[in-house]
Amino acid sequence: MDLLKNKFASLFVGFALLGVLPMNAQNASVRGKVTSVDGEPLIGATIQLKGTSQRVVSDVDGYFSLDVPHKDSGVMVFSYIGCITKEIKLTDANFYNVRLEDSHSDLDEIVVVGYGGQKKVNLTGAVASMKLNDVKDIPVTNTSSLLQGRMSGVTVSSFSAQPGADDDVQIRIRGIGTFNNNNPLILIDGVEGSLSSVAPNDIENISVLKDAASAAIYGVRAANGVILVTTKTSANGSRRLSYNGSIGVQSATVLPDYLDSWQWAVLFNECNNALGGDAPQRNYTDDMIALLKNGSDPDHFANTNWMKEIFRTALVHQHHLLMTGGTADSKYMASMGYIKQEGIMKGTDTQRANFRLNADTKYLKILTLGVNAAGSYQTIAEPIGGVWNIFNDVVGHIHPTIPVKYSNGHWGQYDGNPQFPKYSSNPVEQTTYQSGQIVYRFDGKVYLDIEPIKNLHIKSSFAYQYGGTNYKAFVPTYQHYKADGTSVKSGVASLEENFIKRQQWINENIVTYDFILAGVHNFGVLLGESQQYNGNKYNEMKGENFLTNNVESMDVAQTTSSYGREEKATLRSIFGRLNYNFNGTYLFEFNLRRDESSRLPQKNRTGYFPSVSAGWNVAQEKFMQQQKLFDALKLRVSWGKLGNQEIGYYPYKQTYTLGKTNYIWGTDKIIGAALASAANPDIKWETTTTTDIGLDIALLNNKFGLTFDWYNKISSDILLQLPISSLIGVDEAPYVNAAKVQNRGWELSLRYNDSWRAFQYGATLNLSHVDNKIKDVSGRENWIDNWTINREGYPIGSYFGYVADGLYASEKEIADDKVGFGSPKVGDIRYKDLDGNDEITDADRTVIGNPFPKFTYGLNLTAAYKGIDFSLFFQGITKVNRIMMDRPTIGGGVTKEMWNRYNAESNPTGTYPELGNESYNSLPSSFWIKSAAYCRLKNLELGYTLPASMVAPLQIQNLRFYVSMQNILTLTNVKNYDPEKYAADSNNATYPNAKSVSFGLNITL
Amino acid sequence: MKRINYQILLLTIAFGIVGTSCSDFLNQENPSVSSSDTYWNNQTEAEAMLAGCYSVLQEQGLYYNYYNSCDPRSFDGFGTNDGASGWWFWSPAEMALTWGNLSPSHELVSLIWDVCYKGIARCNEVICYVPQMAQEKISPSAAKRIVGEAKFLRAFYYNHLTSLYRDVPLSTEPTTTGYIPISKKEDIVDFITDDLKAVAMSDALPGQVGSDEFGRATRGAAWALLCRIYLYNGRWQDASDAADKVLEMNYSLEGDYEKLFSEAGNTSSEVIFSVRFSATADGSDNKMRGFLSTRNNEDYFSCFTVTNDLLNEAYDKDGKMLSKSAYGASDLVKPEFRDPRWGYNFTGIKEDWVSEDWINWKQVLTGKIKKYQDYTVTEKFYDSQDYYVLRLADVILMKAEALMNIGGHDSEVASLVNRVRDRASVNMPHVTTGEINDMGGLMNIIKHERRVELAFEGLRYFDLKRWGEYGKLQETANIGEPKCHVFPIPQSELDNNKALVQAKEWGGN
Repeated sequence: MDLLKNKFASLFVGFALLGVLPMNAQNASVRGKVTSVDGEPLIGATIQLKGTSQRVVSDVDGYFSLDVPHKDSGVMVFSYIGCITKEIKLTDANFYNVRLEDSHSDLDEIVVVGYGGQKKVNLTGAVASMKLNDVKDIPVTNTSSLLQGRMSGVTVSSFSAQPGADDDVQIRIRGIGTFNNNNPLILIDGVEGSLSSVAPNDIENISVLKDAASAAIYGVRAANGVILVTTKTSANGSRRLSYNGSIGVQSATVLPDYLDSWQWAVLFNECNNALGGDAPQRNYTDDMIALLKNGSDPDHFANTNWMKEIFRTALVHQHHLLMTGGTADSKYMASMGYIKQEGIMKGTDTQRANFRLNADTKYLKILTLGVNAAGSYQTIAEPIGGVWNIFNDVVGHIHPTIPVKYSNGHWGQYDGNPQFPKYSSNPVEQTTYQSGQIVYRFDGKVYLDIEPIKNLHIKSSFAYQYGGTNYKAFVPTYQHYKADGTSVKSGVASLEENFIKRQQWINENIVTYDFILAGVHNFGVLLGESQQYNGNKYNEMKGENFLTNNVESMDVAQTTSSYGREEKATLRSIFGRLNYNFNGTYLFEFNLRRDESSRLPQKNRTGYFPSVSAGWNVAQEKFMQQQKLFDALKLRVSWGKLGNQEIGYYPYKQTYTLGKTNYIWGTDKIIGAALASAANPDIKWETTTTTDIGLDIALLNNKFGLTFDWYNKISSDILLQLPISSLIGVDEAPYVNAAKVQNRGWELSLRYNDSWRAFQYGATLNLSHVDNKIKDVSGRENWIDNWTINREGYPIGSYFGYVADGLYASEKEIADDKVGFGSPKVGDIRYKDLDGNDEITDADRTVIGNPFPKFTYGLNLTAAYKGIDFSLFFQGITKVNRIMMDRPTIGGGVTKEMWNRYNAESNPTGTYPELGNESYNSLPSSFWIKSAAYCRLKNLELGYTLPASMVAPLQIQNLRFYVSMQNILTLTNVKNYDPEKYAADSNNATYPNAKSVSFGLNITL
Repeated sequence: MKRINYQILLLTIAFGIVGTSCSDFLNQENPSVSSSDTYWNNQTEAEAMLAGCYSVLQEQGLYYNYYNSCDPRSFDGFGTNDGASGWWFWSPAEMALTWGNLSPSHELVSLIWDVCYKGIARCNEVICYVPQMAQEKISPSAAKRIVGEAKFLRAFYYNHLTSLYRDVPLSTEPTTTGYIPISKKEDIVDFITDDLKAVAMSDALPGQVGSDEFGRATRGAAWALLCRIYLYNGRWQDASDAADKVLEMNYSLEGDYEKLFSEAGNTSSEVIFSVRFSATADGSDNKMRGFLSTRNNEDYFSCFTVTNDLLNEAYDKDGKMLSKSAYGASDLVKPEFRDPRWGYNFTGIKEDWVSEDWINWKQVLTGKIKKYQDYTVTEKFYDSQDYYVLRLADVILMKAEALMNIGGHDSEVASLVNRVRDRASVNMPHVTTGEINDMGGLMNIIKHERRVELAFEGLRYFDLKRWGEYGKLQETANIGEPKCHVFPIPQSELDNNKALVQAKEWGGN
């Protein structure tokens, strides 16, 4: 209603002005309306009379009114964030309808940088940014996954689609620089937080500070890169209510293709025969195999594909309500969000409710006070013991001959082979016993901003965060049934609960001043100081021996035990920045941060992190004014130094543990204390130095854009544990600053936007390359962890093992090779003798694969025609390896690949190892290292916005319907499994990604 | 306007003060653990650190009892003809002396090394920091006692190390690098015996302790350990003198030998020093009593079989060695016809056929270890059985051996052996001239008595070493190789400690 009133009011004012105009021609006024290409009114667009300070902004409906000296001479400049600036000559008209075209990467755009904003054209560092508007319709519970493939140099890996498993989405900026914590610093409105707790619809913009020059202002926390998340605010106090909601279904991208149970039994017998000893006694007889084949006795001889049984088509729906409003001086943005995602695996799901309030108000023209408050509450369920247990059972143990349920209705746990008298676990049943986790957080921030003189801001803020998780798992006593209805009981009911609480506060005080000297010397100065506290607390309780399965409370446990610990850290910092540019042509920036961290010993506590960068806006030079090709041409160079303080909370203190070395005197337990960790009193943080050279180009009226960066990032003083003398008397070696890692690479992003009549189209491509190399591990040799090694000259976590050379074809080959382990047989993998000593030994292992993709890319194609919008988004990685091993033995589910195993009688031409020598064949070797390159259609979205003429009568400003699809197409050579999986996974016991289709609508009132 | 600005400024400052006002803002102590600079505030804390020195005794490599462990009993010729047959992961005797496959990279070698030095490092913390505690934090007498016990334990760990590895680094204070060069065994023995003797001569430790403090090292334990260290190092007079100090004290032989090796024997007046366990205290339980029986039940290991050689060591009930026995073979497999300790230490004795070679089989006796065991146990359970490190019968026999080596004390030696035989439940005939003749001398009677009395208490390996009788263990080609007689320094230690050089038998110089 107010809206309508406003409309009438402005119309009224407009008419009134029209009436006045002829009487005062020298001081005329022109009116008009600014809209987007879609015809949506643009609120807050700036309209300036060129060459003057005469400037107004458009109102809530896009209308404006500008006083001009002459109605027919002069140029109006229209600018709006995210749109191409447009100039229109005054032509004596009274009313101008102005459409501003989207500029997907406008150089005038303000980019969020550390403690402020910077015009993109003036940036000297490597900063990537994205608007969440493009991806907000994708239903995810972890916002991190929306970043995948969107920005060059930002590698996001989505290892699983398990709801609530936040760690399964990993963000790495420009490779990895340490053996320790590689997570970037994520700041949500300036406060450390986690992306998974923010609703995508709350986010306005995400900026990623990639090089050291732009991140140095964050000093000791910035070595892994910085992600700045800016949440939405009300632009000018206009009142709006918008809803975005969708509902969709998801299913696994891929599930392994398993053999039927009779084939499984055939291989099982083969494996037993190869093993010899007692094993063949457990063979399935020919009669049993016949029953498996004809399916006539499903209670005893079933054909169960357990992997298919534990998965499902799952529902996901999300709702988000956003309100903005206020006056020109007091504004608010409030939102509420809710998402519920059922997992594609039974027994997994999550739901989350969010709220956020951003409000500020201005007093006395110079003082702004504001508050940001946000909170979330999330529940996460998964099978007790984690999904890994279920996968491990399915892959490793559970026979497909067991039915999911017998005809008597009980869960199947036995098959008809009398050689297996013991019950086996039932994966589907296991998914019905869930553990529950509650994740909650509250973030609050109050701030004030004083602007005593123009462009001088004194800002002070205090933010507090409180959050934690409560975990509860009740393991019942199990009853195991046979098909005949008899049963046995197992286990003792137990309950585990743990509580994690995290608190953080940060106080920041910043002064900024921007000024211009002599019209061409542009200065920007920032000085600030901050202090920050983090504290975590862990408590765990265990109860055992419950008398009943029905009461899941610690009170009922006969025996209980509890554990707990705490940790705290503080950080105090001073920082400053100086920007200078000469007439927008020569750009300089200098940053310095001084950090003092409680995590370090007093003598090493203080660190200085400087950075310098410079840019040359060639396009601004006089000699470029004549050409029409380049709208922008800028060269950038930067250098800076960053720190990583994620080295534990008390790494420099020699510690005594209490209560772990108890002893008995008399009849009493004496609480023991003992040296637990050795001190490294000289420990300091890891330091990363990055040099970056960049180039920005915009061509053809800004239709085409290119950004290229080359960088060399050296991380030194990386902490690692070098083995120590036993004489020190501790089990765990202290961390020492001893390693060095290099990440060198380049990033390219290209964009093209154009339109043909009402048809708009565009493409953005980003391509990144990084070479990760360990330069120094202080002589630590054979740093091997199962399949991986950290070795100088190779990437971190390179795959390490034997080089496979097919399968042994004859006894003679085996005898000639002299294998020093594992007693290989014909049909087993043949390993190469690399050191040429005519024997196969440990020394023949070498680096056999790289877990880092050589290239990562993302390609986004968009098109719009009138109300229809369409986008396609591809993401992929190339030249990357993963371990793709189907364990060469028969336990649980067996993929069809294994039907091609070698067997002297039944399949002498098989190329898959014979079954029965698992420990030898499953040794890390190149046999199992495969390319995991993929290209994935991550998202396809088709939307339709109803014409304003249709919805306006309903008092609706905007109404759009859309369908959004994720991961519906994957091009890869990887069979049976999702190629996006953890580098260290060797047995494919992993939760795949999900593909989904959802339908939704956006509505704005 | 000016006034308002002033208020705003104050507000800004107020915000700024929140963090900066706290002067200790950047000094965060770990609330969950302590560190050396915040510890050592009272007697309880000092005693807790001392408990940490003791608890090393319960760890793997020392008096720990579990599969894959270096159970002290494995020093009693496990895997050899001398003790028990059966598969054991890391029997020092089997590895070093039978197979000769001891190597610097073998896990056993680093296991024992690491655990002993862990104990030494903990003792060094106590010995270094407790004397620095002010009087108001700990009474001088309590501090002296704690340091005395730590010195006792440190001597114990060093004796174990020097007995196995011979020359090792002598670390006597807290170290952050561990870069300490090798000392000669003699120098280490001098250091620990002087150190411990000073403790034993002072009033730092009580002579003996009551049941409320049982398990803490006493003056009696210090003398007994000194006696052992002297004996192991051929310092016979010192050993004899140290033994006298123990024998003067209020220790007495437990009448019931079988009871001694049950939980009821834990606090017997015969026990001078033991490693304590408690089924009810978290993390300090033993699994020894049901250990062998549950191994049997779990069916993937056979139970240890006591070898024929050891079974035949015990006399018949008349005190005659078997070849001179008046009883027939069928009687001699019955406990009632043998030295009673035969029945207390072994059980399930039966005749069995074993192959001499591929063709010939011979009938021999086999049995199972009974000492400390409870074969009624069928499931793994936690017990409170202590492991005896030093007991009176051992000290008596050590005294006898010391006198034997000094010479000229034959009658006193015989009476010491008789004292052990006079235990109520044993009651074996006294040493006679006939026995001395049959056994080939009084020294052999001491050796016999130690083998029968102390079977499976973890001493045999050191006894044989001292007596130069490796041949008692199953002969193989490796015996006689000098490197079998000394453990190598673990490769892991050599890699990480530039101050060390390998023993010369193992290629060092």
